[in-house]
Amino acid sequence: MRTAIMTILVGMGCGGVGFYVGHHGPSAELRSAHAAVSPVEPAPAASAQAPGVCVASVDRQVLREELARALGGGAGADTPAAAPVPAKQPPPPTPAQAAAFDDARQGVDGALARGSLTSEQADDLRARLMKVDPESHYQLVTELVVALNHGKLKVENGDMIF
Amino acid sequence: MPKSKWKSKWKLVMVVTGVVLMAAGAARAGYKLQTGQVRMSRNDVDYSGFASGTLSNARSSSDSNQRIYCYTYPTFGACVAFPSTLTSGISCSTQDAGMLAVMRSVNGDSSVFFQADTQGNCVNVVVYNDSANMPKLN
Repeated sequence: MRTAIMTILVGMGCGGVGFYVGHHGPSAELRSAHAAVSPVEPAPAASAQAPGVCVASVDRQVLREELARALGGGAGADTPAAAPVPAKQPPPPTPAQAAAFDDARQGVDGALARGSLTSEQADDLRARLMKVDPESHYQLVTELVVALNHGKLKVENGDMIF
Repeated sequence: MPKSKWKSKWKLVMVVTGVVLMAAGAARAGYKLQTGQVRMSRNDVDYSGFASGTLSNARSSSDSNQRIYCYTYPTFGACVAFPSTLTSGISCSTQDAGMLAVMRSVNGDSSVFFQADTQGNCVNVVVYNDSANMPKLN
């Protein structure tokens, strides 16, 4: 008899709380916790009219973790943070770009090995360098600049416009 | 010689002399730099260095070695100098937007100064567009 009365009272309590929550929506804490967990996804309209949930039936540990995560600290905050977004990598060179770079690289290596550039060789090297991407072009020109400054490259007619 | 004829001749001489002097004065007006040869200095230990020169002076120099110029692409540029006494030269390259803008301001009457570090990077580029520079005629 006593057990039956207790069961009825607990049932009425749960029902009452469920009715209240169902009409007034989830608590501010639960809403902020939910917003913090999924800030991008808009809450479905139905969630505002969520059916009553017996708070007593919610696992306290889960609730505590949700709140801690929403507030940015506590036991729930030790979950691993989202991985940092990797820097945007340039797209890999196309076969044509790679071939153009190899060709220009060969031209620069040849000039550095000879230690000299005639006007014709400079014209040829210029044509090769014009086909590579700007960053590689700059790197290769800088190699020629360093060689000139080190006295390892003699340039006919001072033609160093690459 | 009659006095009137002598007077008119004297007047003519005076007028011609005046015109010549005025023309000479006009041609000499304004400050003019007489130097602008391409010069360079290089550290033979770390190969850093600098160069300077006026484009017009380099072009009109009697030797066939002097040359100084800058060239630019959208993303990088370089300045190069070859003085008269050396067959080798000095150069620097850069991707710095400010230095690229300076390089792009070079014209035929400019004087250019640039400085290269040990890796051939430009650490300084200066352009003087000065009325005292000799104009580049051809």
